[in-house]
Amino acid sequence: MDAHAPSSAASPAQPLVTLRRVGKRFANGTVALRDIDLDLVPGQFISLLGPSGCGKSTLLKLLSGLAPASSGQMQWGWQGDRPALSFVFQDPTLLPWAHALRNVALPLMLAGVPEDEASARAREALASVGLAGFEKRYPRELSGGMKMRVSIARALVTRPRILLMDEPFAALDEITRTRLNADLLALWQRERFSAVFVTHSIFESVFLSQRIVVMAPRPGRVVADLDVDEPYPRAASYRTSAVYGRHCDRVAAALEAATEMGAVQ
Amino acid sequence: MSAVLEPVHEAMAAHGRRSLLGLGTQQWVRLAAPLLFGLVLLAGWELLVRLAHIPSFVLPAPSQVAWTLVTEWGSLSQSMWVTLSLSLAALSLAVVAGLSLAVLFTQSRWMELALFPWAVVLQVTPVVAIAPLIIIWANDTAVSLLICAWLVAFFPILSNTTLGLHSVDHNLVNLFRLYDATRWQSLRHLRLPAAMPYFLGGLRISGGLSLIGAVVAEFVAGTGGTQSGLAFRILESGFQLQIPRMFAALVLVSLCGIAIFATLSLVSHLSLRHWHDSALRREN
Repeated sequence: MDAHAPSSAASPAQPLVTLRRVGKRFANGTVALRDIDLDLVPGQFISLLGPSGCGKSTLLKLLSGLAPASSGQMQWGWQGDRPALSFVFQDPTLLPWAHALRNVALPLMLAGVPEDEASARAREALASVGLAGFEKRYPRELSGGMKMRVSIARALVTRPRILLMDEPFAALDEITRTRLNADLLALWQRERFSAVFVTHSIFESVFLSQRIVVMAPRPGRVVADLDVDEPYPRAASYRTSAVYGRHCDRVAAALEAATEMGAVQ
Repeated sequence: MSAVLEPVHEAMAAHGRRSLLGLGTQQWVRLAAPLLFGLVLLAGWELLVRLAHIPSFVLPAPSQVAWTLVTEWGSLSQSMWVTLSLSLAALSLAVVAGLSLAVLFTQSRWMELALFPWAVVLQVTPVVAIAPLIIIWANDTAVSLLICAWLVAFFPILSNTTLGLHSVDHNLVNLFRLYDATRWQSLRHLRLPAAMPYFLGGLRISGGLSLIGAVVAEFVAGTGGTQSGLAFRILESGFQLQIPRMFAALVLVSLCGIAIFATLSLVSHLSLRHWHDSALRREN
């Protein structure tokens, strides 16, 4: 498989989303985010890493348009009124009364895609996450990992340019998470969407991403923006390599500094 | 897209084991136990009446009640039909009114704030107390009976469905917003299915209440001739001291209630069996 052309140095491509001094204050006065500057480069895999309460999920909500920013500027760098954007929540968030195929076809159905085409595309998406043959299964009949796969298939069925993921694998066991990490990277290399992956796991972020944005809490802000310049595809052996360890140390140090800064304020 | 990842192989739990007539051993026990208990009770009753020589106008023997059911079947079955169709008509109206009001409430917070307290007022006012007024206003016995039964039946459907329409997973609401779902799409594909278990729970309560409403209303309003329901038969038998006939009418009222409940439970089970906890069998 060809390496997914990374990013930061070479591509002069226009950012998909540009955030300048963006802040978010909740109605109760809590400052969730302050002065966030962030560019989403097309095709890049970014992780948002930080301790609980650092506003990484809030930032994801702003990026998705589900919540408005209370200050600063946000610019979406594409034509047309609607970004091709998908969201994977922490929970699989499936319709319990619909089988897997109908769950995956949901975004297409809401967009008015004819039923035949919608279910054909949903079938492909399910197969691409390794769930061919499970089309008629209800969420109740699927394991946690399989439900998350259905959720990812539903997000990818619209062929999004941006995939936002909010700690999607946090509730899964280690073995399932490792497999899903690898499968997610394979999908990303093929589909070439921009990924924004919220996590509080250093190991997960270093394995997955080209770029790690480290955040600190109270108020939520960006404290480090680190590149992980390792080629894709990343094999399982990458997890045990010396480079991987060094990246983890680097990120851990940044995170440590972030947490201390949060504690002082 | 073609498959780039290996398919997941995972053993799926086998579906429930089958047995006689689609019911497992446990279900048969659950059916047989109450039936057996009932039979023992009836036998004891029969024995008591015969041995103690209790007169039939005090307590008729079950056999006598059964015999009355056979001999009086003509008038009793006609009355049962009247009561049953009144209950079902009231229940249907309750479903229509309860569902549409609940949907209206979720579409407009103002409507809910303005109307819901009045629905509660209607609910807590005893139907016996307002039945005379309704009879005067409606000026037609059949219509006033229907209104009374409907009044009793509609509230559980309204309150349960309203609760259900509000009880939607917040992330699913966000998902629908993300995909620009219209109000109608959210209602049709998210809120209504999510409210189904609640609605069906309300429906089962309302089914029983519609029968109670129909019987109570007839007690208050009274009817005569061919249009009279089981309540009137009970009153009539009481006046004439035909106690076995009174018991026979009572049995039919109970049977109607059981039939309504069983039917609605079946409907509920069939609609929810794929996904809702209430309709799923557990292994552990």
